[in-house]
Amino acid sequence: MLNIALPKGRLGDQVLSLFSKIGYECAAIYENDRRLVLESPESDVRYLLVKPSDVAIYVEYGAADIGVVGKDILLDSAPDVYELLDLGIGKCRLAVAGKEDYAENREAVLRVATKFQNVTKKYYSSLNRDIEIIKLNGSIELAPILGLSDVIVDIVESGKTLRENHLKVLEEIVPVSARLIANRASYLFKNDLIMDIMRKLEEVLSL
Amino acid sequence: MEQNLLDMLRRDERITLELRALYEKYGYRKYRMSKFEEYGLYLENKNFLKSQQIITFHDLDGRVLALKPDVTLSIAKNTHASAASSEKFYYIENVYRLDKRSGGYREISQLGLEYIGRLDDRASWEVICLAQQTLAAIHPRHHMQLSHMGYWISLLDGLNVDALLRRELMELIRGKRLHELRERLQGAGVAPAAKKLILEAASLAGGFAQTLAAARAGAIYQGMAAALDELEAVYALLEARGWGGDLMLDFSLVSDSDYYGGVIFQGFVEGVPRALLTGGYYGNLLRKFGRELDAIGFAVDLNELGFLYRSSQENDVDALILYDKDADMDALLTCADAWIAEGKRVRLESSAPEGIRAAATYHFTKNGLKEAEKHA
Repeated sequence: MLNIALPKGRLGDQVLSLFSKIGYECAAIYENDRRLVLESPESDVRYLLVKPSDVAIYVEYGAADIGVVGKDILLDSAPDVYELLDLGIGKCRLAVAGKEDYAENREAVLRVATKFQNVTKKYYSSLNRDIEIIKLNGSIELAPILGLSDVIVDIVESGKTLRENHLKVLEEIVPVSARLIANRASYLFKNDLIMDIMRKLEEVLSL
Repeated sequence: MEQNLLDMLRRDERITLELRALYEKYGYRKYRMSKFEEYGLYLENKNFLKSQQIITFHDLDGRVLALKPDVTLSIAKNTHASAASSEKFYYIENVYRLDKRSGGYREISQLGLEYIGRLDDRASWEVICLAQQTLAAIHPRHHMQLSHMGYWISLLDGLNVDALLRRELMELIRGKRLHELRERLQGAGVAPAAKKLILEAASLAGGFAQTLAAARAGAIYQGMAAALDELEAVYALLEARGWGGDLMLDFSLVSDSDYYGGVIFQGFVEGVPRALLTGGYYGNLLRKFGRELDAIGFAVDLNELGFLYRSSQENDVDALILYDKDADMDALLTCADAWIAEGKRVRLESSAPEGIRAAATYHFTKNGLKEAEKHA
């Protein structure tokens, strides 16, 4: 039995349908309930639906053998796992955003609100810029509007949320997409299964 | 009696003893060392360490000392080995390292083995075979990954990849991030032919014989071929003695090339989500200490055995005897002594302690012993 950790939400749904396309179907997903573990005895897999930021932790600690997670989370938490494929779905970018009329004051320490502390630290240290990180867990867009921070570092998909809040992208840090990751021990002990999934995903996504 | 004593030990304690016996049988001697070492040793060899944060303090004479973050460095510095006379050690020591996952320092119980001197294929075989036997003693389902840093060093030297890019590439290779490796090579302007060679080498992984043959096809430099010759020779010895089956050759396994220049390996057992055993050839480290010697060894993180043994179903005692105040104490002790002599673990209490797991619980009243309840 292969345990697969998936992020709850839209990306998770996309990945589930991708996996059913390659023969790892799970009838339980159509039942539309709130179960967090979906078992598919017919394909010998078990899907674990977890918070997106926890997928890598499940995989690193071996509670899941493989998982699908956004590159943003991998960059920030740097888990010790194999990153086997870029699935090319869930595409977005990690970017710096600020108010539409934002003008940077280079004399002051920049206050940055984000949930991606490590990526933010690394990015600004590469620019040799002093910053103060304000760690938030959601509704990051509020921070510059209320003057809590000068800018934010967050995921930007279409930019609609930013526009609706009168914010704009100031700099792009890195493009993001969903990645297939694997636990290092599982990669050895369940190599045949993992390689089979990898090969079929490559085929269906024509990577 | 001896068997009784062994039965009483926890599994991890028992394994440690079994492994000590194994290493002693192959002529390794136990190496004991102080918990402290001069901080300078670690400062000068920072990249050799898994975590570079070290607990330091001042000795009374003002010297800065460190709580050992690593054992191999001390052994390599203090060895009396020479080209004509090798030294073989094993150790069980605590080391102190920053644990990124918990964000604080941790005490790690480490068991390791080192072979220092002039090495040949047989010596490498011996250490890798002992690593295999170590894994087998811990769990019947185990795997070992083997790689050779000489293959990578020769390839990247031959292609003139500079040190900075090399470090980045190694990180991508270690994570099997081939898609990003491809992009990075493209971005760095690496020629298409060289890019192809690096990507092919990074994806070499699988059964030993098959992967070795594939690696041969890409071995365009002499150093690469020499690395494969060495792997092949060691593998032949391992296979001939029945230790070849669980070996995988995987060139995504890489280490810091300043210290590791030859065979490197990692061992996994089922139930532990990360490498339990890491090791390899570290002659480069000895050369840094001005010694023209070879060295190979490995270490096992004993704390990781907790993944295997944490949900112990074992009982704390075989018999819990709850005695009444008016019970005949002499009769009670005679009964307990008889059971203890039989090899049972017996606990006497006037009231049942919370959370105790006993195979059977008895009452000892003024009328003598009666069985209260029996657990599965």
